[in-house]
Amino acid sequence: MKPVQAQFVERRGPSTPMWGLVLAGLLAAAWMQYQVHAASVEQQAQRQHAEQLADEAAAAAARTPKTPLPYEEGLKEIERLRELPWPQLLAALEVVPRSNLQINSIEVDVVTRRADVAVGAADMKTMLDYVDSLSAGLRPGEVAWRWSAWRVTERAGGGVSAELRTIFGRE
Amino acid sequence: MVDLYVSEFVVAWARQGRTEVFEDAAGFAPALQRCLLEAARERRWFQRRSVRVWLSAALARPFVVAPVAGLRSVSEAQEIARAAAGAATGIAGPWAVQLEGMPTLAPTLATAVAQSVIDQIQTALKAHGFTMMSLRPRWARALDARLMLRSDAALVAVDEPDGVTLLGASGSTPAVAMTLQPRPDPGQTMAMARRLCMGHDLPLDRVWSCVIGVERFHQGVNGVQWFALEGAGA
Repeated sequence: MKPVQAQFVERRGPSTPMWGLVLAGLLAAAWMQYQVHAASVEQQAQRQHAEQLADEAAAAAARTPKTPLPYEEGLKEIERLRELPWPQLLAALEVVPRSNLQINSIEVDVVTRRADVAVGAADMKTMLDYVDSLSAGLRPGEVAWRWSAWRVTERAGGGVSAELRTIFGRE
Repeated sequence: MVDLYVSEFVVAWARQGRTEVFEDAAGFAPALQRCLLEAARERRWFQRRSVRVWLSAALARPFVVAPVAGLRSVSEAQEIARAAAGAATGIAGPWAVQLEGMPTLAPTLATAVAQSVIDQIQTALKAHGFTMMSLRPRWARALDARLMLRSDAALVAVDEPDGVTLLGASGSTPAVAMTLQPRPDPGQTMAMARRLCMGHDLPLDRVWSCVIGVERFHQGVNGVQWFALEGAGA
């Protein structure tokens, strides 16, 4: 994002009586410039000395061997977990209406960026309609996942249970 | 330099470390008259007569101008933006529109203000011996302050007494620019920000909001408290 420059009135310069002050200001600025130049010569010498010290310190730091942190792998896994688009996943599951169907569990694999959602439905049609609804209305360029049914089994007491699977990513 | 804040029904004047607020249910014009009367009365002969005017969310509204191939000049771009301003912002014309660039290849941010608002403010200031040196949206100032601290902000919501301004960008390309009026409550604003982020593929952890009231107008926007939608710290 960039700063907004919107300015509806042009800034005007100094009025005629102010020109004298502007001229005086310019003269003062020239004198100041001379003073600053004289001071900058000394500052430059000091800066060079400081840079030399900084270079020496950096060289000393570079010589020190770098040991990997013992918890680095754990950190990476937490970072991967945090990067997953949780709000979109949960919103997708929430906004699609579900009747005669219940979500039993959500399991996410951060390494393969895969989510498995276990559902139970009254019948096969209800379950397939739900899968279609989850994937419906997606436009190119949107953050979207295609859902597929996985391990569909008929339950002894009637109805079906299934695992719905999606891979996080872009279309 | 006098700083003046003008919103739909409230005018505020920053003076000597405090803010004088003038309200009028009939609109900002009568409130502005009373404010300038007092400012003119208190002004000493050696004090400057320059005024910086900051417009509120309802008076200065941003919108996104879609790219138009074949644009040849800035005035053509201004014409196109002016033609789109009414439908995009809901402000009654004619409009003064400021573009942030040329919308030849990519969408460009624009800000619209009713010309009548500018004329009324300018006339009132002139009548009381003041000169308008600048006329800018206050939300732009708040946005600048935020970007100085967090240049990676993806969506910013600036909450003012008469509306909320939402600005979002994907990189440097503007994606969202709108004014919510009447002013929604913070929960609704955040829900809207969340939906916009999902729709435009903007990261939710780079959404920031702030409330800039009138009472502390004299403090500028540097002390404004920013809140993250989620994740990142202030």
